[in-house]
Amino acid sequence: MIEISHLTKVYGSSKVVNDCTWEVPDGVIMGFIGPNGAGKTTHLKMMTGVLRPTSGTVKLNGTDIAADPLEAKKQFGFVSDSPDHFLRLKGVEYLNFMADIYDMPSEGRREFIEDYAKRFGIADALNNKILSYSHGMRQKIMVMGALIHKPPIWILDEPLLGLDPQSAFELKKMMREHADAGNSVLFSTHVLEVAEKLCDRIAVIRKGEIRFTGTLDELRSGYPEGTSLEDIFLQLTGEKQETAEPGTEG
Amino acid sequence: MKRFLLLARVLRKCGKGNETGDSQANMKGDNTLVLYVLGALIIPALLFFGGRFLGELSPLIGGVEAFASAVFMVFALMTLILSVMELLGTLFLTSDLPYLLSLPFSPRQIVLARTMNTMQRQLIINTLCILPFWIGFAAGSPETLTAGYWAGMVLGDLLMSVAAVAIAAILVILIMTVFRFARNREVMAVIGGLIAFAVLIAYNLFVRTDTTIDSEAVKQTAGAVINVLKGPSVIIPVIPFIAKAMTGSAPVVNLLLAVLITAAVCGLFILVADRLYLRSALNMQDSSAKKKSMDEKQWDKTSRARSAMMAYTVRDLKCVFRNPAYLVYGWLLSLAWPVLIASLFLVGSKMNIPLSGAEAEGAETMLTMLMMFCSTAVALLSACATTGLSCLASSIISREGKSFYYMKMVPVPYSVQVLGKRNAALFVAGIGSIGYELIAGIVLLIKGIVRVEWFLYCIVLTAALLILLINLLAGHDLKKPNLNWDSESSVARSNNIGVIIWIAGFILAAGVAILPPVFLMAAFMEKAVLWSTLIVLALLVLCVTGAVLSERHLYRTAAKRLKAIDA
Repeated sequence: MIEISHLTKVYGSSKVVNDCTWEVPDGVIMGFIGPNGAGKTTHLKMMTGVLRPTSGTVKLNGTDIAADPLEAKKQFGFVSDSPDHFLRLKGVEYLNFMADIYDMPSEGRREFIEDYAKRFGIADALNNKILSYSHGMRQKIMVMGALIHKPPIWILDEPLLGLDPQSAFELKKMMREHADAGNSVLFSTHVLEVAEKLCDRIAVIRKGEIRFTGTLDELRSGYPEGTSLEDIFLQLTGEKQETAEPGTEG
Repeated sequence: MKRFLLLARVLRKCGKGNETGDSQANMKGDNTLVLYVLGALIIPALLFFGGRFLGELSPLIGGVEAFASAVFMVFALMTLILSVMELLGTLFLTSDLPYLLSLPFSPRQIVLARTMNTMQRQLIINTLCILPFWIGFAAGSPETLTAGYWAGMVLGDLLMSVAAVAIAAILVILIMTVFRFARNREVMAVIGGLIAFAVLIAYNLFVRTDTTIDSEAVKQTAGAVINVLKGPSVIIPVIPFIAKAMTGSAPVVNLLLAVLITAAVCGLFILVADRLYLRSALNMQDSSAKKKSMDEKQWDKTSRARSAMMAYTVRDLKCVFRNPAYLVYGWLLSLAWPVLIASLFLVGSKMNIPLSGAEAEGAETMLTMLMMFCSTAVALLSACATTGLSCLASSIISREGKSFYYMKMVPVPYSVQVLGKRNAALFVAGIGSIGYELIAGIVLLIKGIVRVEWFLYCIVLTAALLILLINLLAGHDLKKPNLNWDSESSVARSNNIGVIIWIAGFILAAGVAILPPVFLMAAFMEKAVLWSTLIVLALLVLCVTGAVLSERHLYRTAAKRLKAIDA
């Protein structure tokens, strides 16, 4: 479970995240939706301890990340929106580096790597440097690295970007299995269809403020029947009106 | 033509300050301006005085034509090397080639535009160097002035620069056509640097055999050096004609021939570019890699659990050894100072310094002095290597770049992460310094110049210097890392590491120069050995104390500083 309470981040005079309070309960897949520049990545960075919040708290399975960062960081696996990391390492070296970082024993590593590499179709590329991987392959190896310590909470920033249909299907299946086992999955996405099909709950953010949290049915109930999710989203984030008014910045 | 000039201008602006053509310039703002102004004033002034000094010594030099050839050859080689480095980057390693080809430009226009930009830059550098030197030479030796001197000087600067860059472009295209596997500018530079180093050592060891130091020997040595330098002028064929024109042999005919040869070289360059460039350049864009399967042994080796600190150390070592940028800016730069100091020894050995002090009067005192001088020199020499390689420590955090956030989100204490990375820098620097230490130490031990205890003393001194330097540089990078980069070369050179290396080298070289008089003074005192020992021990205590304090400081501040960095 992730509990976010009055989370705020200020850069100079600009409030990038403004007093946000919401939670990701156990056993659900939570979609985190918002237009570009809404504050999603800043949010995720504060939740993972990369950025220090100006005020507010983040608790991961009950552990405050500011008070006990080492224990809190063991609770999640994080996949960033860019997979271009550790390019000079081979795939298998990167995965073992992550396993070492999370203090995983030698036993079971090979089984995990072989199983996931097979599911993602990159088994024959493990012994190559990540530098030689395509964007999709890099994304897959980063997902594997984030999950190698079997974290109870998954935090994924645009995880499906660049994945082929088979791998995207596998990852979505894994997310479902993980949530059904009583764990939490939070992922940000721009693809509303994915959110609609996969998420149990969604959180919508706009200009650093959480505009909605709840199930998709709860979201739809506030709008006339037949309104598409896209229309609801555009109205909620204010983009529809703003694009209709020339000269207004989005 | 208008489109071509526009292309050249746009490419020049895109690659300004960075020869690889990447979007991030190496230096910006006031620093660049100050460096340019200083360079534009100090270097020409130094060359002017150097030229005048050599002009005054011209009777010792012998043939002025050969000397002119040698000087132009030095500048031509410099131009050639710099141009090869730059053109490898701009012609083959920039990612904008497919985009440029999709625009209405022919491959010939692209390659000409890029080469023209290199030519322009090299011409400016050469003009700032060659003209002041020859003006100084004329001031020092007015009797060498002939009718063709000034015209030869100006045209020589222009033609040599154009011909050298065109030849560099031909070489680059041919190299990349033949060695298609060599996709990395830095790998090529490392190979070139190592060959140059080997040639230099071989030349010093086998070619120079003069053993006395008198005016005749100087004349012979100068003649030999000039002959060696003007020898490769066949690579830049305009040089002999320029040299002849400057020294009075049929200046008009020779200048005309130089112009014709330059035109022929440029023609050859266009022909090579037309025939070979596009195919070899497009070959570089292919980044596919052959799949390598894992065997049981590899699985066992890679899956073995390590501590977090060791994991960081091993990861950093792998990244560094696989990153050619560090081979160039770490290893190659570090070679320069030991070579320089080693050459002092070589020159020294040819000046009949009584290295075996047993034959001289006061043999014991002399031997003691030399022993200490040599041992300290070994330590300093190793420290020079350390300085060069310490660029790893100076980018300990910076080189994480966009991956830095990993350090913040993993459940490993910050101090453990920093120390793991510091250990990797220490290990690599240790390889360099211990390597130099062993080579120089063993040679000196065999020659009987140093005793074993002095050799061990030097190793301890080097280790202390190493730890002190690496910790200071790591601490500096922790304070203000540069995480926003997109070229590994630029981060390898971050924190003005080149400047640090050379300044540290100067200080250490000055140390080598200062220590002998100190020991000499000690030698003239009654208790020479006692005083010398005290000085040497004081140096050791100072370095060891510094190392211990820096270790404590880094451990105490690493976590705080890392926490303060927002990704």
